[in-house]
Amino acid sequence: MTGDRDALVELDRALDELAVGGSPAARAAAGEAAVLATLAAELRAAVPAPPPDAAARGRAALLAGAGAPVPGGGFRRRRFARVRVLAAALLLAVAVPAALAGRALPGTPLWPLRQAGQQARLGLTADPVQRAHLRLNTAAMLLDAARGSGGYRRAGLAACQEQIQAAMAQLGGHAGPEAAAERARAEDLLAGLDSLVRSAGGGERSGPGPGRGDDRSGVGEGGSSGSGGSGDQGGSRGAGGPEGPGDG
Amino acid sequence: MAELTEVDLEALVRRARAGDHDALGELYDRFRDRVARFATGRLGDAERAEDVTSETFEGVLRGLSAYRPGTDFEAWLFTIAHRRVADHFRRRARRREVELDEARRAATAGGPEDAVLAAERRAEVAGAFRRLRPDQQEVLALRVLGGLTAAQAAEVVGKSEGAVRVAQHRALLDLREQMGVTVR
Repeated sequence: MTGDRDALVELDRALDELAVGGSPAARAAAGEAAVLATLAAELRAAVPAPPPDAAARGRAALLAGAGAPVPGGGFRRRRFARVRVLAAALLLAVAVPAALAGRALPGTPLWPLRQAGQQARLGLTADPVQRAHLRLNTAAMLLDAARGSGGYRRAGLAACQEQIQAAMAQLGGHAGPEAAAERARAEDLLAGLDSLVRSAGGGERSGPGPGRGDDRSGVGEGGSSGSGGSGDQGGSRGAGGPEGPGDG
Repeated sequence: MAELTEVDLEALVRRARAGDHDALGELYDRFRDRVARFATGRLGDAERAEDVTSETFEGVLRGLSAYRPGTDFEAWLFTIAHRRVADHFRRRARRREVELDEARRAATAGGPEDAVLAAERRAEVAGAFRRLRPDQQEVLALRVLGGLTAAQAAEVVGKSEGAVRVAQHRALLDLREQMGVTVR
């Protein structure tokens, strides 16, 4: 027992010696303590010494953190500054186009981005009435823009019509005050669309219509027949029907 | 760098606490390598060890005002390092570790035959160390790599000094066994 304790103490002294840079085996008596102390010294040598440049960077960072004026700043600070700049750039790269896309019109470069955003929102919305509401918001925006500008009118009217038709399809089988309100809103928008087309000479409604231009019968027909006829489609086509080609 | 007496160290810490940047820099210079070695030993990765070392001294900077004069500064410092290492282990708990790759890469790099043999031996020791239980690695990292006394290591790991002596002995015996060294 005493021998065991002596061995522990002897090893402990040898490790203390190692800590201050001495040779542990030289102090330790022959035998187990010497072998273990030598092994400890080997372990110490096996762990790579920290690189001096890292120490200099770390020192500078520490002093900078303490408020000392350190030219160039510390490594970690520079790294965090770089991360902040990258994050800001990423935010700008995503947020600015997204914000601009929110007002994008058909035929403009950001229109596909806006459609993708709408698809994402629709994908996150399970309620068909709410989905119809989102589509009608887009339709209303398109209609307003069509009233104000003729440049994008053909594509804009077609996209507006598609959104209304798709909304009507989604509202088709649903009752209740909210669905009724959205349906009334869709009909108002359709009326506005008709009015706009007529004021432009009547040709435009059929001209831009992707519904007519495409082979998608029913989508381009508009009017009240759209709401009635697409009622059954609401369930089956939902997001994948009118939205697919319209938003793609 | 000349050895510091306890009194000198206490004075240095007091100056650093009072906002003396030179004193803070000197504390860093004196203890940085030991903390980095301890962290490298525990984490097996020089880059992460560098992060832990930085975090440890940031912890010192933040904690200096709360440091109680008269307590063992080295034990206090390594307690911070010990916690930062534990944080790293928690963060990477789901990731597979690449153990002491730095040492192994260095060991297998080309060079004169003696140097290669020495490097292989170091890699062997490092590999055996990584196969020890975490608590054994901890006590050897504190005692052998960090250069703490048994009493200081005991304070860091929350055990008695005697328990640390037993643990370091047992850990070195296991290390020897891991390396296949004949017990004599």
